[in-house]
Amino acid sequence: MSARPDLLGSEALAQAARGDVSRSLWRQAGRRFRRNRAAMGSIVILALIALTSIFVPMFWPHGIEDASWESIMTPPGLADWHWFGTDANGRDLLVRTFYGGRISLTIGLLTTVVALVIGVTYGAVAGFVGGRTDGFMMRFVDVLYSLPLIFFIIILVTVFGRNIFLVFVAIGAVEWLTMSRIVRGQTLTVKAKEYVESAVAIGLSQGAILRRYIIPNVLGPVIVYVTLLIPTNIIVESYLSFLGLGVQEPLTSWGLLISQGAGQLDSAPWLIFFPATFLAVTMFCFNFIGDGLRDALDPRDR
Amino acid sequence: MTALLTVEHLSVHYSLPAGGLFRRRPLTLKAVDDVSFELRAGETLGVVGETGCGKSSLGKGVLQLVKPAAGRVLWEGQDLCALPAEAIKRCRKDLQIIFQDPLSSLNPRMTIGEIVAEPLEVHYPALARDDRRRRVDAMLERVGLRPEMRNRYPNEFSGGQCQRISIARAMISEPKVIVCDEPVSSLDVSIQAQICNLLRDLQRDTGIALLFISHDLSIVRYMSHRVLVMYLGRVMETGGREEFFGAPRHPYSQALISAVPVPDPDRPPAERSLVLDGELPSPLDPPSGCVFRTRCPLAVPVCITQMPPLSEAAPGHGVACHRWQET
Repeated sequence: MSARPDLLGSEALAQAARGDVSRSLWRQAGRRFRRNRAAMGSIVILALIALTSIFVPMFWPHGIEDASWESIMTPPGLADWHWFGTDANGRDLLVRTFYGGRISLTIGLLTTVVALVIGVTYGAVAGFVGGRTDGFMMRFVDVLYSLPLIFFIIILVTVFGRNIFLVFVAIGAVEWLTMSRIVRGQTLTVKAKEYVESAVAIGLSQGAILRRYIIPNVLGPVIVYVTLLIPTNIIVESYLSFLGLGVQEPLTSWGLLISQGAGQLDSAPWLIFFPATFLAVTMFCFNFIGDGLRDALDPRDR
Repeated sequence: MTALLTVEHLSVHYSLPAGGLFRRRPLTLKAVDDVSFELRAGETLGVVGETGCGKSSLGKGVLQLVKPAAGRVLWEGQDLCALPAEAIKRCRKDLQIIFQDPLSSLNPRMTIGEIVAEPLEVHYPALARDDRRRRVDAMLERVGLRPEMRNRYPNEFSGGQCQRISIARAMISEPKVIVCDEPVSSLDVSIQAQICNLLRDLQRDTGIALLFISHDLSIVRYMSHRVLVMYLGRVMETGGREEFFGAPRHPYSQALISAVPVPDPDRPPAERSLVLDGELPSPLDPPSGCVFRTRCPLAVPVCITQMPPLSEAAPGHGVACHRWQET
């Protein structure tokens, strides 16, 4: 019996007897995602980076502000726990890199959440309501789009002073624009699909249509965009910090470390090498995860 | 036999908002204009016409998927057009629809088991889970699918199978009327026959009434008991299948029927062909009087000024033409 191939779907029957299986496409997507080695590897590496960023600064013998006259510009080595070397003030680069990771990852996540919440709500409302409301809302987005990010941030910094919170607000306030456009476009596409009409035809309520038909079909591209938005926002923060508009000393971030290291590329190349490596690896990981999710969520594209 | 569903003077209009440099006034597209018919239990009424003649809008207007601009749809003594949305939802158990594109009318994120079970969840929320599953399985089997397929997703099925799933979804709440909106137009010919036979079997077993919309006259002839011909949103002719196909009275119907290809190479080509001149006028700016007059071989001056009423050429056979007696 068990040697025979499962031609008649008796396995499916057995599964069905045990209870409902695979309630949605998400489970299948999860299975496809787990088969993607690059994406799974990226998740492991990202988790390692995140965990070390959280815990290493707690236990490391050096603090992020501990300057030391004896060990200025020490190259990387095992001596005295300066594994990544030290900077011009004798501060340990390893602890500063991991601490910078905390800030960079936090900014990446928080700004993405801000962009996600505003963008999805705004875009879904515009797409679902449609008509004149939609036109008005999207023209407003167009106006904001035309404003250069850097100009916007300089204004914010001039008015409110330098503040890490401001960096969140500024990046989130700009990045939600693209999100809202994506969500609006998706909502419009899904709303016009015949299956939404078939849901109306069987008498489903508006709420259920939104929950079972619109949102599951909009979510795929949104999730993919989120995984690509996190690295984008980390980069934006780096570039703001590089210009001196982002995170301020003694706090640090990967962008700030890179900007400081860039000034001493000749004399102390390790100062740019380590934070830049971490930043690059993080970017790669998020992008692999984004690709993996896209493939997993939309099997028809392959 | 008494009418199950009565449609009186139904009109469906779409308004195109004003905008741009050249169009300052809102335009109204009369997709369906003053259409009346009756649908009796167990019968199939075939609706035929060219693309854009308002066939689909008629079906959607009847089911209130598009809000009709005027007219009444009488169902169990109530006018659906005047009912509040909640009351219409309750009627949807009995009034179902099958769409043209089989794949895009199924939610890609739901399994076919969920898709077929959904009308039961909506209309019979008290139904026990096991009972629901049994009904879904029986329905899947009835439309020719294996119940074990219930955990698969629509994109794993072929067009014909998807259309069977759509039929299962439409049939499971045991409706009395199904609007079939070009249900076979996007399928292969061999599959078309299977789906048509399935619909006929289901009709024979359940006594369901079908409003069968199609542009394919041979399919309509095979499926329907009665036929309704539409042109630019208006009814041109309506009658029983035998009378209609045997002796069409309206010049448009005559042209349509003569245009059906006859698969017989020995038949002389010009024997009975009646080819229409010109193109379908824009539905945004239909001709005055009789909408068909611009392409009608029999048009006379009165056709420009007066819209012909639907005259009764024979009992149950209506023709909207000023000169039907001469045809």
